[in-house]
Amino acid sequence: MKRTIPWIITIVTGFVLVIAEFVPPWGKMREDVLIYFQIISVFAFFLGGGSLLKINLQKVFSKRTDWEYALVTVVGFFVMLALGLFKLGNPEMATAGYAADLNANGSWFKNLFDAVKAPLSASMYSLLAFFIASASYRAFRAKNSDATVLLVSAFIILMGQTFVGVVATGWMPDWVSFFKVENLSLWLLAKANLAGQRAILIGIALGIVSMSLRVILGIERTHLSGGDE
Amino acid sequence: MSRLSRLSISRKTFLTSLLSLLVFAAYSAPLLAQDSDISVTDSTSAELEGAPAAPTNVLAVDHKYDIGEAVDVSWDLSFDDTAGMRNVAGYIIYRSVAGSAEFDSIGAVFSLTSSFADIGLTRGETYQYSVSSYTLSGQVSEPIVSAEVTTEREWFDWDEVWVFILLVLIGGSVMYFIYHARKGKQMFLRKIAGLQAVEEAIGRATEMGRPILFIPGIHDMDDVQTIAGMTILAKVAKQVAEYESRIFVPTRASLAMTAARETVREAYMTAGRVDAYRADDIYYVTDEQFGYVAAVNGIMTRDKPATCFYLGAFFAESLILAETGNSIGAIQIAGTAQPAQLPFFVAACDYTLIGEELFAASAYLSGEAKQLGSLKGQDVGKVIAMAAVLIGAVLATLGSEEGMNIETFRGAFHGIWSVFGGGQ
Amino acid sequence: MIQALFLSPVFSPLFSPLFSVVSHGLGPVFSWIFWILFVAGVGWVFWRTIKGREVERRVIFLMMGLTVAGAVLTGIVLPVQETVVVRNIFDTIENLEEGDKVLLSLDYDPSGAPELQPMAIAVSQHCLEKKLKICYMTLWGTGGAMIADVITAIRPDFPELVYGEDYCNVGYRAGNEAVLKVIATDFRKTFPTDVSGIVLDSLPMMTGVTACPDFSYIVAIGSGRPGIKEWVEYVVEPSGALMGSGAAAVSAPQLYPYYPQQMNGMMGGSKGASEYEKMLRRGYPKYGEFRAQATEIMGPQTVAHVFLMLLIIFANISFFLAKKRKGASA
Repeated sequence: MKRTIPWIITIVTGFVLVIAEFVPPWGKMREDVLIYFQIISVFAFFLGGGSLLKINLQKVFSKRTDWEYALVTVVGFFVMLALGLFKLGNPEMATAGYAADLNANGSWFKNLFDAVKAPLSASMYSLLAFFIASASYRAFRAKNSDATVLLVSAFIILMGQTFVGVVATGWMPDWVSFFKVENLSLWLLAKANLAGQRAILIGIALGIVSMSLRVILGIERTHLSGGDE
Repeated sequence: MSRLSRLSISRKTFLTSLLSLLVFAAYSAPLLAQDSDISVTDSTSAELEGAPAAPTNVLAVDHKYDIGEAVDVSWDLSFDDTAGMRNVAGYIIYRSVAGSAEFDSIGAVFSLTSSFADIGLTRGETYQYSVSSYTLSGQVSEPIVSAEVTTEREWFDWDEVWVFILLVLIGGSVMYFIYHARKGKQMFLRKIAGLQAVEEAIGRATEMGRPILFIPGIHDMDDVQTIAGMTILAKVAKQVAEYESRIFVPTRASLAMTAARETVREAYMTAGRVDAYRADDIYYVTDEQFGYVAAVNGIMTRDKPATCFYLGAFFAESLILAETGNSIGAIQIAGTAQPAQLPFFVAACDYTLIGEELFAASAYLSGEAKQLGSLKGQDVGKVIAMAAVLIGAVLATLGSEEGMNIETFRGAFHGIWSVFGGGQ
Repeated sequence: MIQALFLSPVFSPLFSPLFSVVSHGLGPVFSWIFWILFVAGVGWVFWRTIKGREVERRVIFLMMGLTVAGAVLTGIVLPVQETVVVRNIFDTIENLEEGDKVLLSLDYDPSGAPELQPMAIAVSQHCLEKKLKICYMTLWGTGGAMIADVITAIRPDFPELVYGEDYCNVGYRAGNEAVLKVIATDFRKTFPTDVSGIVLDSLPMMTGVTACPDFSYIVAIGSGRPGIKEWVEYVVEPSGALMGSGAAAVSAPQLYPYYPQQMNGMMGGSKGASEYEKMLRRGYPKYGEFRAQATEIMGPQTVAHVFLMLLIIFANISFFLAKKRKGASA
């Protein structure tokens, strides 16, 4: 039972939604199902939030290693929750009441968002620049013919992005303008890269068809607390 | 040895892919070559004030293949729009409900536009439309009235018929091979190095006495990539249970956490070690993308997992995760259907499952005849795709505008993609 | 010849500290120190490479940090080359008429802001210069703060703007693709009110807006999902609305297939944003005095790219030297 009912829901929803794509009066069903999903994930958030609090509070109370970080998480969670729910310091509260824009300028929520969340997020993202440097130093080496192709294309595209590249081949006469770095790099991006990406995308689309059918037909049921039968 | 060379492909594969790249390039060339100049309305050239010539040939037809809520209005451009005074600023569209002589203005469009879609109508009602041209100075031409039109509901969307045929063909062949797969019958399977390394990677972690980290992507369960990640998690967790090792699964979505817990618990149960299952090792971190990345990086640098799996949907964080994993010397197996992130994983991980390999992985690992059969069905789809690309490339090269033109193919692929890949 | 090289647009910023040290005091001295450190660092990495030793990743991180920080602090500005892909968006807005409505969707969070916020600001400024009416929305919960920042940034330059008449902000609605699918045909079903609960019908600029195609132009600026791909799939494809987009540099290559059919233009990363800023400055010279955020980012980005290229070259030299040594010893 525990497995059959979810499987019946899967098979019915799966096939009905695929057919709905071709039957205009059923079209709204897809929209509705998307909304159901949102509702379910909101409830799942209580589970997620609960698990987050449980694990971090356990760490704090048992003073496990690095429990200080866990404390920051818990405090951050409650502070932002309170500021968001009660809209403290929100200038729009006077006129709009609790319908006030959460991000109104001057509200404590927005201030903390700007002062803590925004710079932290941007810093994590900017780590990418550092990791790209170390990864390219390690990976782009002409070890064999494939790696050489990779290296040369990477180099051309990097050159095309900078003015060093534009200057380096700027002297070329017009009849060989295709070989100017900026044109070569655009060609690589828009032709070779795009064509390859399309091939990968078609493979992915077919992979999704086959995977979805395995799920809908109940052959693959691990996600339904199935496992190997 | 070098990390990259393990991934290197054979010369034959390389040449084949090069050839297919060329075909694709030929196919994509006309798509890119199109110029997309915006036409500029020359409204300053008006010299004479006066009503512009009216549009002609106003047609109103029921919008095809809908639930009877829309009408498409079209007309031929006013003479003063394309030539003549060139003072038309746009067109005003009016509507009346059948029987009433009263036309209400329902919308306006720019000059050089010759169609308008009226939506939100009542099914089975009869309407009539009229269109006028107007100038910037406010002169409006006489309205040209269309014939009456009644909105209708249709039960099959014939615009999507190509998609439907392809779907039946591909889906049908997948199902055929699933149900006709016989046990014991040897099937040729291309070797996927990343999947063959899974067991070895788990064994290594066990030997080193260090945990295993599994990231099922950063999307929720509505993304098929996350589901693919979970199916692989089931196989991985079972082996972890058998080896008596430990697995951590931090997730970015609460629903993914619930699904991962069920999956892992079930795997432990199958392995007969349900007592060793720890629900708290599978936990929700945060929905915030880079907050999640920070947390995972923290886990990596503190707990130093010996093996990291990244299987699911990834965005800008792919390289941040994989480089951190690389720095702690973990064996890394990644897989995603986000083409833009593949290069990052290839550069920093030991093994990368490229696109469809992610979806094939659970079938591959299970070794079940039925699951493997589905992969064979998928190959039929590939043959169709290759044929379509070839025909499309030839047609595009010859510049065919008539009949079965390139748009048909583009539409068909787009459709297939949106039916199954829409969840991405 | 050498003087011409120094004065060329590429190299002159690099050498400007050299000339300005006399006239500008300590600031240029700092630039000097930075460039000396940079050259010394690159030299050291090169030396290690020649000796056949691996360079530790932390050194590379330090160098990268130094490069970017130095470039930011010295304020290198490099010329921007315009491309058609960005030009199309500018021209579309340029050709709209006074009073036309533009929908601006900011689907990103602070991590994407350095790249995408300049686009949102430049497009907003352009629309307001053309006296177009802007409706802001977002599909991301964190996007509300981004909209607030854009409005704060542009508001002082247009003191005469009236909320509800010239611009409005409908804010965020949960539901990702579902939101798009609905607003493609019925805008008010998802957004019955604006961000502070004012009924949409009472905002003068929103009269006549029933669905997405009622906006003369949509500019979707996004860095992930839901984002530009979803806009194309759920709004542009079914409703035929006219759209341009702004994407983070990492996701831009993936979106090229949609150009020019489904979106008539795209700004990719800081490069795209800086192009837009350049066009805006040419069309409306008063912006010359304002900060061009994206253009400022381009300088450090270019220097970082040059550093990356040097790293790749060094890595290959070291690889070939190692191979040669191995061959000689065998």
